[in-house]
Amino acid sequence: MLQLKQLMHKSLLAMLGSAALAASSVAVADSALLDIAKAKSDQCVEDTAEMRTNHMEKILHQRDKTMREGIRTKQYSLKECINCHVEENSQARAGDKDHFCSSCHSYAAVTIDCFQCHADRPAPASRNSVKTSSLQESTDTSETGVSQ
Amino acid sequence: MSKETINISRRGFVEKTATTFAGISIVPGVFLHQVANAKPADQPATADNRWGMLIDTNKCASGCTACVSACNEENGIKTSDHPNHDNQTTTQQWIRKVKLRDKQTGHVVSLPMMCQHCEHPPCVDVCPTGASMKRADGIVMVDRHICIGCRYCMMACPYKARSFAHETVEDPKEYAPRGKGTVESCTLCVHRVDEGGTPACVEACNEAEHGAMIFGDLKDPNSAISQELKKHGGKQIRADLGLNTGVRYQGI
Amino acid sequence: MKKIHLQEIDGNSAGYVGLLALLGAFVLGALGSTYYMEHNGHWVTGMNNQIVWGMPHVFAVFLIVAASGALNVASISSVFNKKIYKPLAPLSALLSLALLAGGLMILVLDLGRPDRLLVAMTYYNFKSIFAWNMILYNGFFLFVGIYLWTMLDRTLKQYTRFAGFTAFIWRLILTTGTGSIFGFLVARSGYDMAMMAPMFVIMSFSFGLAIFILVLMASYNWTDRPLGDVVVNRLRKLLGVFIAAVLYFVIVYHLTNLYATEHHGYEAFILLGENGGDSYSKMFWIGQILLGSLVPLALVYAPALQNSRKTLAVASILVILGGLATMYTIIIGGQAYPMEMFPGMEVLETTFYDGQATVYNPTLAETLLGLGGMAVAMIIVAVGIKVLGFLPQRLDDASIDPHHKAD
Repeated sequence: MLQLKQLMHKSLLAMLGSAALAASSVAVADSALLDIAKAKSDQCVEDTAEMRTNHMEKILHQRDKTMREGIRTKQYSLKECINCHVEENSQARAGDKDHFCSSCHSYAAVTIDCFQCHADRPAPASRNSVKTSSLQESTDTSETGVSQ
Repeated sequence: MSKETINISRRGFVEKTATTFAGISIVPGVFLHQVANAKPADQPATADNRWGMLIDTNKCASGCTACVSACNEENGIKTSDHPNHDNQTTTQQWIRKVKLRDKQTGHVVSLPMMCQHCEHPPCVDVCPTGASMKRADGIVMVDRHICIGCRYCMMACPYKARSFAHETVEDPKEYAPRGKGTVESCTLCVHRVDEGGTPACVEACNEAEHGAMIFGDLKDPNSAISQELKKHGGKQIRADLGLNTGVRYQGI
Repeated sequence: MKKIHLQEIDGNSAGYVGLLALLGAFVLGALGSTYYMEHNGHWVTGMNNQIVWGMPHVFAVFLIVAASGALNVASISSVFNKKIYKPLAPLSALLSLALLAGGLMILVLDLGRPDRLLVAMTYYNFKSIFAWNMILYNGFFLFVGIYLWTMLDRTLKQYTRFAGFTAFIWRLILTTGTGSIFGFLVARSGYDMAMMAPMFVIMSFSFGLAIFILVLMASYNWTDRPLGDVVVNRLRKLLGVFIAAVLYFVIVYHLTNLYATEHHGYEAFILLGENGGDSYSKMFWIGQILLGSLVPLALVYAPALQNSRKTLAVASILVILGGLATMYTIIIGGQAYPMEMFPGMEVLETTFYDGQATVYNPTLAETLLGLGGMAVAMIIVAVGIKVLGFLPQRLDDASIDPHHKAD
């Protein structure tokens, strides 16, 4: 029963994801200079301009909140940046020009060490199923429920 | 979906009623349990909880390493890829199995050792940058954003619970970031705990049908761990240090 | 009474350039090792999850302890007003700054994340003795720097005494802090004793003075400046007193441990080499006690060897090597001794060396890093005495009269 619910939940997410992907691939590249990897959605959590200037502060703030207090909201979490901006099973790794973060950071010559520890691509679906416990899944679902 | 939405509001309702009409027992125990465990994602961990673990060494099977494998799998800990290199000395061990024999009585026990999540952790005291930290709910962790890799915490820990990342970590799990040059240790699977789950080791121990590990809230008098501790007690390793560990043992 | 002038050395000789080149080679070696260690990760070193502080810490702690001791000569002149040492005070202060810089370089380059030095400087946990030490190191540079300035700038002469006193107090606190890094560790049998702090202070006197004597004799010898027996013999006798004092502290330390049953295991490990402590026991008896204490004591006090510069040099070198052996015994030996987690139990199975002594095999990279730190200290001194007048022109007996006011 529970597994069925999980499956439904996942396939729904996957459908949404692929729809967003299709939308974003139609959108033109942001910059003539840069070939920034595309996001799965055409709208980031804030305006593009805001994100370009202030993404580091948002991530840093969220970093300490999550690390020290256990606040795990998704809006400004690095994990969600990666989930949205990097393809699952992407061949582009942090440091490569075609990785979302690295493409801009290498252009701007700003060194980041996020990916010395953090995953630079979303977890493959197979990995996800190993991890999730039943309680956790229900929390995830309820979050989706709230946002809709 | 809609079912879940209702669930949420019901949960909020339960929370409110539970606090307003504390003591009225119409609230089913299952819900009470969930309210106590599942912290909303936007709320910080608080001192209302203290997460702990109770290990019954009589149930812990000698030779079984289910907890160790589960921890390694969960947190992406792999043995080194480098040939000609003694893995055991330099790879991370967040949890390890130890088998002991009482020198006088000959009694043999088997138990898992990991971070004991002290109330007064020496590792937190000695850390120069404050990377070694204890959350409000008692979970002791390393903030590897500001860990400089000095390893003083490893000198200070009486349980040898910490490991140094001696080499590059390939493909860390997205919920358990780990990297070269910093110190790491058991996080009590904080990513699971924050979402109302149980640590991977405890889950594995239960799946292996040993049931030697109980995880829960030491501050909740009704939790299974508190009940069991009240009934049968549990010892701290190196209780002489007065650290008030969150991990307790029975049968040693 | 002659006025003693401080004067820069020429520093043009082939010998001087050669010395700098040699020291520079060691520094390059250290930088290369650092790159190698940090690029691959610490698994390429002898360090592991049991012995977390290895050879770099042996050298670094030795240098940091010696740094404080190298200030002895200056302190004796400014705080205790012994005029004979006054001309040597600037060199003493320079040496102490140089040794601290060398020691800190090793510590920083051995960090898991040396790139986060800025984090170490900006995030402080004020309960951490390590964090206190970082403040103490910076303060040491500041106070000794000011002290040095008051000595070298004639217009500030009247402040020298006060600055010297501040530096003296600070260096005592500094070494107390260094000793407490170990002394406050409750987890390990070999540490966890308040006596670590005063013992480190006394060790600093001995190690620092030994280095000072060598630097003094070498620089006078290589620059052909006159150095009389009066000064040298004073320093020689002082070194003897310090070596004896260290020995006394070491004896009391072990006696204290021997009295407490809970520490018998550790003492058997270090003193008798039981349970895998063989190499540490040898390091203790042969390195620390015999070569580092008894032989230099004999060399310093033997009547037949009075006035022999070579003997004093050998004694000083032995004190330094003995000092490194001491640090090795304390730092590596203290970690290698298994932690007492389960009293009364023996460990049958473990994957993490519980209840077992751990083996540490230092690698070339770690040792080169340590030697590089020493080289950095020596380069600072060599360049320092060339750029500024640290060295007195002459210290022959005629210009030094301990029974007369030097100024």
